[in-house]
Amino acid sequence: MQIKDSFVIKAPQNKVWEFLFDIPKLSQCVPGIEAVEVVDEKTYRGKLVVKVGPIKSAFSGIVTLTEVNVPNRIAGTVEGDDKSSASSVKAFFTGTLKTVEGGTEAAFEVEANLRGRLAQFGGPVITATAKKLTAEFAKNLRAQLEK
Amino acid sequence: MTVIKFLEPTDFSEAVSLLDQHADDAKIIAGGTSVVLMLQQKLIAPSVLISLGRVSNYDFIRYEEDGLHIGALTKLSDIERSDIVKKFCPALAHTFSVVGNVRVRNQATIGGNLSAADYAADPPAMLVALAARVQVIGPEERREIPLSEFFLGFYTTALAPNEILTEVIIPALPSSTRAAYHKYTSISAEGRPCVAVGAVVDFDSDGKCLDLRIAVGAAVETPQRVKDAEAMAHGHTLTDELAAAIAEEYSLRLDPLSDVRGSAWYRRETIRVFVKRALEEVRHGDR
Repeated sequence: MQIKDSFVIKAPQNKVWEFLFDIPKLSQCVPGIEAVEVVDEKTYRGKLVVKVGPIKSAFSGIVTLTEVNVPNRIAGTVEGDDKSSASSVKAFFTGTLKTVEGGTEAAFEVEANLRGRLAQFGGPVITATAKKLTAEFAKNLRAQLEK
Repeated sequence: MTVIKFLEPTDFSEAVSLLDQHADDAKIIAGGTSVVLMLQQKLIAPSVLISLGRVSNYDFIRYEEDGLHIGALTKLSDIERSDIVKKFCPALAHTFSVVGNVRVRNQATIGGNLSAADYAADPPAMLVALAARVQVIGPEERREIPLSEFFLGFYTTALAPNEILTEVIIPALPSSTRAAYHKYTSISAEGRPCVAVGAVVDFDSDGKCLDLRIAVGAAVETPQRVKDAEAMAHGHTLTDELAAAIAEEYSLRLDPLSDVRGSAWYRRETIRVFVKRALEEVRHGDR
């Protein structure tokens, strides 16, 4: 599944970039995130709880940055699994920042693959849930940066 | 093997208090057609099941002055076969007759069907078009929720975690009202719909539309009406051209999803076809 989105944050690009690397602050913006740990400058470990109606899943995983191009672009992978539903997710993501009138345009692209029992749930539910999470993340990010 | 505790309260207040007590560890089960599947697929793992099987007096179908009242624990097959429902709105009886198959309908309850909020279900679209509302009970109070505000998303309703749906009310229909439910299945006849259309039209003495409501379900996350499209009919005769124009507006304005029953593109095309067909049925059919 592929998700693409972009939005403008009313803040200067450098400030946005710094925020993206402030892991405690950034992780507060991710809905359902629990327990983020910095392993090294390119690797982070964490737990993400996602609920869809009665179905709750908790993914434990690792985010690895493969590309860090200050202050314009990051790219990386996310790999995680939820033992209780025997499901795993692997995703590739890229995020770019660009100075535009009014602030910074943040664009991201995620290519994710869900396997296991949750995957049988059905495409639209997974896509809609992923879109809701990313939309909420964007909203929280803007709220933090535009304070 | 984990043993699940199976509790059997005898009334809704007891059920609510058990639900409140066990919270996230518990799941309500009525007919079980949704819950047992989820348990088998290991999508949920409650340690407690609160069965409504012993709650009495809530499997009723009554016609009252303000409309049709159906208890939450009424089986879909009883609604399908009820003379009261057939008299009130044949299209509603028809809606329940096409859910899954006879074995499912003999077990499943209307309360469970609505509470599960499966986007690909039949009753929601027809009930939303009929302006139905639900009564729910919580630890402190009972309240009513219009069905149009009940479905919030995939498998998500406006029910608080400690609330249970107790009754469905469909407001009385003027005798000049006709309704139709059209279920389009793209894979198997007893499967979930690809597109579900519930249409309700009230005609004046000249045959012009006084009111028109169309809810599309199964192709979208929650049953949707397009009020601008419905308004196109007010004061006009429901001609072929008007039906086509309304259907076109629905296909343009809704944002269909893709799943195993059809892509978003395919659904846009079939929404156009089946909204029109539902309106044709309303015109020519017999309620």
